[in-house]
Amino acid sequence: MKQLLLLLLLAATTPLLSWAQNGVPIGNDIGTESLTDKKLKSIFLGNKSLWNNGNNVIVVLPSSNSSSFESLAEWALGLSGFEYQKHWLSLVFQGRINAPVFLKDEAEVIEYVANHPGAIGIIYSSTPPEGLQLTVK
Amino acid sequence: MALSQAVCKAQEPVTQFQMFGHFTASAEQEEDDQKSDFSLGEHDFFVQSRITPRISFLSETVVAPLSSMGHSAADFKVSIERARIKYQYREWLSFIVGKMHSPVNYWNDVYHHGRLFFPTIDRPKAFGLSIPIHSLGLRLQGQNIGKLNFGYDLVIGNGMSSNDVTDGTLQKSLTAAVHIKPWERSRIGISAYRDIIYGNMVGAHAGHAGTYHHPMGSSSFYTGDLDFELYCFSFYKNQGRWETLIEATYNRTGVNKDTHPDLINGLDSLDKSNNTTFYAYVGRKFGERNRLYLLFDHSHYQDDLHIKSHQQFKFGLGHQHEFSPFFKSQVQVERYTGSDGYLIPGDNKWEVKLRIAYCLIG
Repeated sequence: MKQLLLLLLLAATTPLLSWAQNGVPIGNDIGTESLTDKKLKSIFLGNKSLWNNGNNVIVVLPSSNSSSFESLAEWALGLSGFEYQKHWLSLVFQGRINAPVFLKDEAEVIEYVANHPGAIGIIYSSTPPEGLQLTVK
Repeated sequence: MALSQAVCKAQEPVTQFQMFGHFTASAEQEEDDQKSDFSLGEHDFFVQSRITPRISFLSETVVAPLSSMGHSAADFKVSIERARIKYQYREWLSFIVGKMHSPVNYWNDVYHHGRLFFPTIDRPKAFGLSIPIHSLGLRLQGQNIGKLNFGYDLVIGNGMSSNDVTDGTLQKSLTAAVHIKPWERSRIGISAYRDIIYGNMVGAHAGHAGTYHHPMGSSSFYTGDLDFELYCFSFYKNQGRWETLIEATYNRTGVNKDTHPDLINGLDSLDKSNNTTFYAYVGRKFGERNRLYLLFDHSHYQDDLHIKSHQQFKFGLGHQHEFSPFFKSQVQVERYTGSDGYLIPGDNKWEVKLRIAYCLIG
């Protein structure tokens, strides 16, 4: 009975937990403070290059060796970090999108986003500054 | 591993260097004739730079052994395959100038010279027959428009008879291509391309050469100008374990009646040729890094003044293993066959190929 209650509680809270599992999006001067989950995924798949305010979309990613990278890949592409790297490598080679910026860890991602208008990232293992946090509709 | 470790202010240029390369080994048997080769492939130096937030540069410079040098391997050719500046005005409009791969089909627009991305070892046979690989000119581009991720490319550029420095004519090649991406990692597109091939001679941008051309000076070589039309259809989808690519072309070539009115009567019966190619690839993943695949490639040219008539088929079975996102191997067994009764007789051979392809990142 206790297990059943726990399962029910987990099922009920899954939608609420999904964002916590996927990390917190952060952005700097991207012309909006909230994005839909679908739009956000689309950005992290390289399908957007300009924000509505005219700033360049700069996708900032953690190192492919980090666990955050795997989480991000699983969320954005539904596949592994291996496939996510191939996805970006191909997009850049096509010349249809600017290369994302890869950084060593999430501290660097936060610092980069804070200093670069148009930059967007996702933070999994630390708390980003409130001023950078984006809301997911 | 990372695509770029650069950390700099947004106003500063961000430049990325990559090198793509490959090695190939092959063995073939045609009736009683057998041969084998180890080949040094292209080495492709790729540069992409975001010069300003809206202006970017991209180039591909390829160094490849001259195939005509055979085993001496003493000489190489260097070719700038892409060099272009892009100004992004809006998501739906970018201006691109320079030398680019003609966006006529998925393969030419996506894989370029990066063998690491090729799903099969060789390009579809339409390359070398009808596909105008490059264009040097102005391109308008829009992408990811609306829910279907609609995209378009309009190109006006030097024609297939030109080289990298001059065209020498007022006439320009025209390309119009549209596509949609209804699912992530998919693309469905169609395109139309038209050009005039002056004196039936092609230059740096055509990619047409070799045994399929009517040889200069031969009785079958037509020396006048040719109207050239090409229509392409591409379908690509990579979902779950399955990856599919279909490339189809329909090409019409005929006497240019404006520039050679005196030849109309003599050659009117030829009208325009109707040439087709069809390439299909289906691959299935096993585990994360292995893929088994099948390929089919067919070309049919008849009564064409530019390419010798032929009907040929290629069937293939292959395996791909990815050691990393930047290094992979492919092995492919191929069966070539065709029909007789054409200027080029049908193939009748078996071939086994092994390819190693890689990408280095700086």
